[in-house]
Amino acid sequence: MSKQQPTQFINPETPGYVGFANLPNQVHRKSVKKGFEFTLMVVGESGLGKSTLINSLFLTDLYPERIIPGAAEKIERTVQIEASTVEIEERGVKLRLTVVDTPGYGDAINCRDCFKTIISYIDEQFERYLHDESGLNRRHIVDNRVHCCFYFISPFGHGLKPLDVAFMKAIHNKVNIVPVIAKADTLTLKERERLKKRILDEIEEHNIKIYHLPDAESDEDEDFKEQTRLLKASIPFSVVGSNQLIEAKGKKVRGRLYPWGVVEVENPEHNDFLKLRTMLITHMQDLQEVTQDLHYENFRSERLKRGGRKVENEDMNKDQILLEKEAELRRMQEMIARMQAQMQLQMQGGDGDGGLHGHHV
Amino acid sequence: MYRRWGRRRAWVERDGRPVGAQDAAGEWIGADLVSSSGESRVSKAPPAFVNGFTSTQPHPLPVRGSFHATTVGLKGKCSRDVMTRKAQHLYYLGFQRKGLPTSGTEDCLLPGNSAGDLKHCGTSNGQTEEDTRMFCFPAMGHRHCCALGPMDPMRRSPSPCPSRPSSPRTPPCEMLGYVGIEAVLDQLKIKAMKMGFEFNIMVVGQSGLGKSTMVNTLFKSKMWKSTVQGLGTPTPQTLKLQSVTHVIEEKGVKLKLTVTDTPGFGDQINNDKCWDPILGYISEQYERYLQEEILITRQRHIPDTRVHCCIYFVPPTGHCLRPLDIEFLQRLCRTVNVVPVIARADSLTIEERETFRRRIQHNLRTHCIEVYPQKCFDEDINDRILNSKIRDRIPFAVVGADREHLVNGRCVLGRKTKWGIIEVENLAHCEFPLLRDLLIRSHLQDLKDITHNVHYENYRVCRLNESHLLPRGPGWVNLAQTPAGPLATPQPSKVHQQAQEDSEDGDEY
Repeated sequence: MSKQQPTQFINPETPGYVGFANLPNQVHRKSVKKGFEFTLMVVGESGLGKSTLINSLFLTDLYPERIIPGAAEKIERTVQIEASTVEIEERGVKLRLTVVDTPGYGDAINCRDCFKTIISYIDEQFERYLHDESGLNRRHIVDNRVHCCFYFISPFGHGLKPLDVAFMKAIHNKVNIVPVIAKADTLTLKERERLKKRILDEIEEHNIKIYHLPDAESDEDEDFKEQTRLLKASIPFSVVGSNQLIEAKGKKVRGRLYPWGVVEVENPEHNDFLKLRTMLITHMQDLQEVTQDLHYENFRSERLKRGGRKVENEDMNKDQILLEKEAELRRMQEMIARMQAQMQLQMQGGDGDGGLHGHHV
Repeated sequence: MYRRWGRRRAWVERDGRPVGAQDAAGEWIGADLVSSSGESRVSKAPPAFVNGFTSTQPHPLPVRGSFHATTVGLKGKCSRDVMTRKAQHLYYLGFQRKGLPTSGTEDCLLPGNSAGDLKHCGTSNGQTEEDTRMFCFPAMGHRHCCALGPMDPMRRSPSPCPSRPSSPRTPPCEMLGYVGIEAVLDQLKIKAMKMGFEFNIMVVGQSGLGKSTMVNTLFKSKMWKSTVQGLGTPTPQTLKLQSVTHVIEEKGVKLKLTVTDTPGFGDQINNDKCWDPILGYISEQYERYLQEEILITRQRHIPDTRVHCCIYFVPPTGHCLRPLDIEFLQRLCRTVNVVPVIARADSLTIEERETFRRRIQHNLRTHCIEVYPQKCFDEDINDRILNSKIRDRIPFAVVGADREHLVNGRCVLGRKTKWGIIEVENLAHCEFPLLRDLLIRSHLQDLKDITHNVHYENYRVCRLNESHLLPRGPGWVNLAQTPAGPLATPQPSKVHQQAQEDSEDGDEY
């Protein structure tokens, strides 16, 4: 028996091999068992193909009973938040995907209040996570924080609209923004390049912090580096979404059928759909990390610095302020009294000096 | 039609009676089309038939009852002459009195019909619809046939006027009751051609929807460069309208075209009241015209800067009209003719287009928005039939392009993408030809007339009802009946008028 024990610990291949190189596999196995959670938010004007794109990306139908509201309803509607969750499983790996949709964004004539609802939703998710994290039972924290936000830019404009700029500036510190050019099949190649360049220039001009792909590590293989470089060069991605199968050149592809041709969704020459999907899949973990390490920590430190409860009992705050002000007033009065006493002492003490009158405070 | 013209010419010569319009007719049609022998050669291309639209329309009769002739269709393929009901009636009388010729009426027939068919068309004396169709507007030739059966491609070129006997056997001077009123039309035509035409359109829509490109494509000339804003220029905070005027000429017909652009519409975060500058501009043009019109000594031809047509570009979301669109359209339809179009329609497949179109039509109906062609201004059954076909297809899904590409050996205007070339003038691809036909070839004069007779009159009535607030220029004539009894005679000096006004105000309120 004692002879068996040493053989268990020694790897026959390499002497000196301890075996913790196996750790990633263990993590992998555990994660696979646990499953992944990812929350994606899609923001953009109505009619830009957001729902179609989401369905195409994840090859599901997230909006089975979707009723597009009529014009009359649109007039009265404000921005709403709709979160739909779907569990996708692929080769044993479970993904719990939550897609947060924002219908009504950009619809109204006056869009000044468009983003309030969205920002408060994001903050609410952070708040909830903070609350859970600081709670007693931390075993089953559900992570509903928004990991990534796809912002849909209309291909019909000449770049970013004022609304786009304002919105992105409002949330770039809270969530990873991935700008996406929607309905890219209206653009010719030259127009697409021009638009991408315009958007990147405008983003830089307004100091908007979009999500930047992490550079490939130097020890990664060339293919991966090349892929990352390509992805980085294509931001913002110009995409076309579709789940319809069209017959083209003898095979069935997902695409859109026009009288003048077929736009294939998964053809890299036609649009950047594949690149977007690759980016999302390969960098899902990174997106989550950045959300956790950067945005969530920012939120947390702001929150804890402020202290107290933010939302409720604003009246009590007012009373508090009043009390504080009164206390301050009393303090000021005491200080004045003290100074006056001091002055009197000085005057009494310094009579010989010839009337050094102190400043009247 | 051209054959008919040829014969008519021959008839005139044989008759010996000079009819002044002959030269004009010759000029108009083009010397190559009509030869002196009376044989006519086929014209270059028949008027385009596009889903029931022809390039010519009978024109709804003007309210004022004046003779009115215009030439539209700058390609020279068509012209529209209009007679008032009065003249038409006279013609009917003349025609009915004499009865019908029974022979030699080949050119009056629809192609494929024999001479004998005409008998049952014309024997009835009543003004049935059939009669109206066959007999009205004789000088207009084939155009009326076109209007009658637009879906029937066979009815393209002939003239419906059995009154004009083409056979040499029945000399027309022996026709009882023919007066020759129709010659007026030709005179009007010459005059109109000399004077030239004016047309003002306004394009409204968010930036990037292809408005400038569309205008360039419509008139096949670079009205202005397709705008690409430079980096760093902020979107204009207030809406500034820009107008560009060009004079384009085609086959001797001059058109003074003014296009007003509205950059910055609907681009801000807060788009409240973004329609005010536009409405203000339109009212200002009406005001200008009104001021010219109420002068005592006014110009012979008042320069017309009123907006005749406003093309509204709807972004191709595929869902329905947005609140901004509805607000704007509601306000604008009351003051100007609005033609909504679906812009950048190459982002929608054919089914999506149809769904979108139906939804937009439903929205327009629900919100009581009357876009051009308005139902209430259809004058007769022909108009209604034609216009309902148009109304069925409004809003048109258009694509604009000002670059040319080679497709199957032809040079076409289009957009080239990796998956195909979108041809702008191909009806299977987009509905640009319909829009062009509507605006230029068929309804141009109608647009102007409705602007003049309806929208402008509405404006004028409103203005004159508030006449005590109307600023009185020199030589102003008080046209409105002021109820409270102050002076209604023209006041020579402005100062005196002002004092009068003040006292009037004082009296009335």
